[in-house]
Amino acid sequence: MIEYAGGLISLAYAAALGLLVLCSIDRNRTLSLLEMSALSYGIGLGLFAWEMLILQMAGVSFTLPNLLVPVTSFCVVFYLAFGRAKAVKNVAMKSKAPPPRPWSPKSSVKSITEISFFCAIGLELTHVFFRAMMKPMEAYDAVAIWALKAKAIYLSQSLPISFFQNKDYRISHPDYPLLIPLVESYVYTFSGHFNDFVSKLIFPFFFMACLVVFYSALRRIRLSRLESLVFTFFLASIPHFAVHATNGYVDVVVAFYFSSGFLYLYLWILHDNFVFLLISAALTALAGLTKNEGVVLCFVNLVILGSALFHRRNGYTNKIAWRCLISYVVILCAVLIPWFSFRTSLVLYNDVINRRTILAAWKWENLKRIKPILYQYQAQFFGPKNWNIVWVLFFGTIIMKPKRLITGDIKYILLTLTLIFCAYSTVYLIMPFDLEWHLRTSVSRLFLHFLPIIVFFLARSYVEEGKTNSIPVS
Amino acid sequence: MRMTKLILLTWLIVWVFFLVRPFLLNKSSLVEYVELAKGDFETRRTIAYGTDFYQFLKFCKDRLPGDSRFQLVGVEREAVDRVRASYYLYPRLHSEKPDYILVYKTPRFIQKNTTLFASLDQESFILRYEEDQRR
Repeated sequence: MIEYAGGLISLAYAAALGLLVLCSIDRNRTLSLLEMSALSYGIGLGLFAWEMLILQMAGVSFTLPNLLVPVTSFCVVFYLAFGRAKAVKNVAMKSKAPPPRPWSPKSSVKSITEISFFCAIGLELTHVFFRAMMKPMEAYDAVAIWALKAKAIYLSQSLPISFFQNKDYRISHPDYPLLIPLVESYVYTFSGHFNDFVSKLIFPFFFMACLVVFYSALRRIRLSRLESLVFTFFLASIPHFAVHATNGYVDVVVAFYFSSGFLYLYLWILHDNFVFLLISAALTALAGLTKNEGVVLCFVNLVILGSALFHRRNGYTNKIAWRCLISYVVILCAVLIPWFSFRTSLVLYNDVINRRTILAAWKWENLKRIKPILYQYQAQFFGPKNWNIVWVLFFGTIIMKPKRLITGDIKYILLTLTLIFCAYSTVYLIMPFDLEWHLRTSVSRLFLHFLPIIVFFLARSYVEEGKTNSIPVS
Repeated sequence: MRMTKLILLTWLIVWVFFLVRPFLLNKSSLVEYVELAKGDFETRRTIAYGTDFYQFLKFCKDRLPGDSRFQLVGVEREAVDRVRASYYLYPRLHSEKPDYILVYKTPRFIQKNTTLFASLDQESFILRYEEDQRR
């Protein structure tokens, strides 16, 4: 257990820094403590990965003081400058709030069901943590792509250029974004030794953070506590989602960053709170820093932002609309540029999607691929072993309420899902390698990236129209 | 409301079914869970990588110099064991121009210009390229 303590402290430290940043941004305390803690975990770890890329550009090695001092100083100064004064004021205001309502038998009866679902989520979480902690990094991509790089970074205390350019290690895809290898190496550096059982803790915590953010978003669209718990349980109990939080693959991490990024963008569309937009931009950008697909997902959220601004052009002045768009783009660029500049400096290119494959892809015969792609999609949709009945419910909802889906705010969810399906399907249409193999090995994992949005879509469809006014998270 | 309850019930049934099914189909998986829970890090890695292969990897790690380059024989090209070996043995590098050949469960393997460097047993051993043939 002592071995795990170092890892846990390193993650808690990153989360604490993330919390400082969030407190500085969210000066009116729009976010609840629960969602703030979940978001701070993702943002804190993202901060460390981003800082390491900057340190690499500056030629500074990744020793523990070099890792901790700059980012800690930045977060503390940022908090002192922007966050603290307002926070003290808010605490003072909260102390004057009326006491909570007294206990009533009715709410107690209700709470038995709530407790049951809470326990079921707890059971899934325990199972996920247990499975993650029981085994070292051992799954194929977890080892070949992510953990190997993390070990190389940790041992060389920098991004080892010779390793990234070593042709014998092409299998580790040196062009893939480095958030997870950097975070794993941070955990090793903080703990003082290499232990991949400990770094595996990163993933179940992302799973947990994803559930917390998801639950909070449901509360914000006016679902009751019980309803929110039920839908959160739906998400937690999808076998494929839970399994991928235990094996060292990064798809659950992408799911957290992208889905949370989308959910806060959606909440911004509903509530017009600028803090949501800033959080959405940061989380979406970190999805791009986690996996190449994340960059596509950044564009998807940008398109959604653009279309929301366009639809509301009467409600905004040009100045506000541009401020929103520019803020979003600036945050995306600020987070992603250090990685792309490093990648460009090494002349690394993607082996699946690059200029050559794109130019070679525009052939009519590639359309024949639609059949195997659709076949593989339907194999997933009707596979309860991996997905329970989530896809059946999703398509059932679309078929049963087609008109409602193109009106109101729900259209943004559907547009997002459509764009992702189109983008991922296009990649399968043009990729130069064995399509069948790629479909077999990757489709189910790509679906994970937006799975929380699928469940959110179900929840949103369940909510009665007109219920989505601004409400605080309880 | 009835529809909602039906959906919820179906979801719960499918959830419980696929949660319990692996243990019913393969009772040894429950035993493995217990072993994993009881075991230390070494035991858990042994279970995850397989006893023989992990023993071989530990043997190679002990014997190979930290900056050496190796090639692995006896493990299929696409097998997960190959990437586990690269990972576990790093910073020793897998290379097309190796200093050492790690032979796993291939008793009659012969390679020109090599000598036996160390052996775990009759089937698994390390060959070293002669000085002038390296890289």
